[in-house]
Amino acid sequence: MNVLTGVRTFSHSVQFKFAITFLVLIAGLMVMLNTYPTIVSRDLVFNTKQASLQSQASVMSSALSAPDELTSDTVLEVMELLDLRSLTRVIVTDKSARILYDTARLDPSVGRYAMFSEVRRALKREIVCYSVYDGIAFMTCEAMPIRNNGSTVGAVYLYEFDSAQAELISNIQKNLRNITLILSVAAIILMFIFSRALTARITALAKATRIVSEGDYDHQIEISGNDELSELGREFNSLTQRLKNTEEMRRRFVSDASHELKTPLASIRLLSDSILNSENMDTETMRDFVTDIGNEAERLQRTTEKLLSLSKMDSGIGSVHEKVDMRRVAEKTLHLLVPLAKEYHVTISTELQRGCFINGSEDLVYRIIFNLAENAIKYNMPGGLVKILLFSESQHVVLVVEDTGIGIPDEDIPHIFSRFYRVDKARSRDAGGSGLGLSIVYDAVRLHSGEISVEKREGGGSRFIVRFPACSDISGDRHSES
Amino acid sequence: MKKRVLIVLTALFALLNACAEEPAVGTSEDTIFVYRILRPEYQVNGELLRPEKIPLNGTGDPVSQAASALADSPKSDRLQSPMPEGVIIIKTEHKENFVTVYMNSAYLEADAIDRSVLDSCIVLTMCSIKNIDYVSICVGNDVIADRLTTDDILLSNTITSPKKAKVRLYFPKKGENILCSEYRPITIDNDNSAERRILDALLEGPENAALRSAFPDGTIVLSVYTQDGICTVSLSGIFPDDATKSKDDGMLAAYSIVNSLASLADVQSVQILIDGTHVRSLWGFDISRPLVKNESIIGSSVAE
Repeated sequence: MNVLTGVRTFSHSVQFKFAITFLVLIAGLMVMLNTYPTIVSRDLVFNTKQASLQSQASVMSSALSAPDELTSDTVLEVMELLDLRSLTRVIVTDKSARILYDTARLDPSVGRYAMFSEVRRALKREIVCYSVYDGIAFMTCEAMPIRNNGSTVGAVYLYEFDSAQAELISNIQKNLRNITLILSVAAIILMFIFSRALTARITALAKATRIVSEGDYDHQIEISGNDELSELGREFNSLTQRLKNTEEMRRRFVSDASHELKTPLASIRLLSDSILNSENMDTETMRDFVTDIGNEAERLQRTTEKLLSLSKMDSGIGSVHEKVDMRRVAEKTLHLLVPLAKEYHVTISTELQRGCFINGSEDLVYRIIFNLAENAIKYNMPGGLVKILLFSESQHVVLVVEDTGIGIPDEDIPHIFSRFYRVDKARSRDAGGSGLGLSIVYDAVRLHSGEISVEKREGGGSRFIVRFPACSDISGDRHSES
Repeated sequence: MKKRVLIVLTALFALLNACAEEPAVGTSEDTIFVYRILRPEYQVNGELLRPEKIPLNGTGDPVSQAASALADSPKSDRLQSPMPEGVIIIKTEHKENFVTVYMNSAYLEADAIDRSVLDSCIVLTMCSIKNIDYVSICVGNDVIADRLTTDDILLSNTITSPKKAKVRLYFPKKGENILCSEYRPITIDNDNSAERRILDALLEGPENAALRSAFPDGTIVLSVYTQDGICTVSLSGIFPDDATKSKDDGMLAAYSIVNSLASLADVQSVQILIDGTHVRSLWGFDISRPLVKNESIIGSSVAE
């Protein structure tokens, strides 16, 4: 069996399953429609027939109980007074089942013994009544004893063959059959159209998925209507859009990363070439060149380290599960940044609340605070201020890093957390930035189930607000114990 | 290999079975039909009496064997004995085609309907013996029922609809000068009257192997109509002076028509014409005047 991808046999298709389900449903309904009314009307006729024959038999039986003796003549006298036209056959017997009266035109059997079970049962004081319907006619039979002074003196046997009612029922049946046929055909056609339309949309979706999976992220589905499939289509389109964005980001990241790595490597190569090519370089210049090579190598190392930590975070290594005292980490980090602040002539002011604990990795928290504070110092004005606040707010621990620097232009704000994105490219490189610092912050915050936002500070500069879920004491204790 | 052996064995078994069944089929001379009452739960469409086929012991008297078979309990669980409690058959007498059955006095105390059912079972059973036509039931010296034939018993409602019924057709019994009836379904419509249907069926001949056709092949009905209770039948293809036929043949032929047509409520007598004209006699039997039904030459036949 060689089935091409995406090509299905009809019996495996959704359309087929829909069709079968509907067909079974329709068939069931049609069977109901065809049997139930017939059964009901047949039973109705049975009841009417039996009631009518029973009343006629009762009339005959009581009329025949009057004469002292049942003979052919006395029976005839009584029966001539009754209207028997609706009955196909009426037989009256004496107590020994001998026929005294018979309305049959073909082979009337007066004088013979009626050895029918109905007659025998009637003579045994039973009332017998039953109807048979064979599709052509209703055949109803009634037998009743004739009593005189408490003893059974004979029996009446009534038989009715009625094809008129049967014809009526068979006409109803025929009409129902026709209606069923028309309805079934209509239902089948409609079902095919609907299931086709439905599966056409599913097929379109499957086709679109295939196109996108082959790499065409621009492919979009046309959406009409507002049902589940349209919803699915919309989701698909937005998924494709996200995929497209991710793919673009990935591409840019690779290209940026290679570029970032290329630049220091090119510098190193240029510098080393210069050393090798100049025959009589003085020691001072050479020392400068080698120092530069060292700086470039250091930059390269920093960039690769950052990339490594980013990819570690991407793959979820170093996940967070210890109780971290934010205040302690912040104090330690800021202590390390004091020399840098001095270099840039920036003042650091802190307001750190006690008792701010989160669940996470101390190392990552350190990086978050360090990177934010480092940026705030580096991109500040000389004589500027960096303000760091830490406080808890309902279920959250909030870290705010504010600076009085140049601020971030509006158009850059959405991109600042992207990898290798630099707001001021020249300044950044001078400051030793790699364009990865905020990306690391962003990923680390996300890894802590936190949120990070950035806003313009009144009077210039930016304000980064990081919000972590606070560590509940119970889980915190357990983690600290383990 | 095993399969082949199995097939051979199966074939052999089937053959043996076929051989074993052979004698049971037999002729009506070897078997009789013993009639019994169907148990109420099996009584469908009015059927009350049902025969059970019993093989005859070749040496004994078939009539007494039939009587003892009636006294025995039925083999089938669907049937029950027609004998009311305490009633027994004391003895049977058999003279030519006439059987007299003597019952004990308990018979007189039984319900009228139970007696009728028993009588019917006795008559039907006795008449299933070859050459038995009449049965009388006696208690002591009193004749309770005289000269009953199978014709006296109506086993089911023969009328299906106003247009469709089973009627009795009378045919001569082979080897006897009596007529026996056979039921035949007929359907009447605008083109075919009941009389026409009966005569057509009559000329087709009997289905029962014990009966024979009264008319030579090639006999056809020219016309048939009923007026004032007299049904006039005109036959053709028949020679009223055929020397090969006896007067008895003429009588049987004439009454086979008369008795069959007299089954109709409208027909009191039948006038037979040959080729549209009155003839004095059919093979020596006087048919110049309309004939009425002759009950005395009716014997018994049991459908096989």
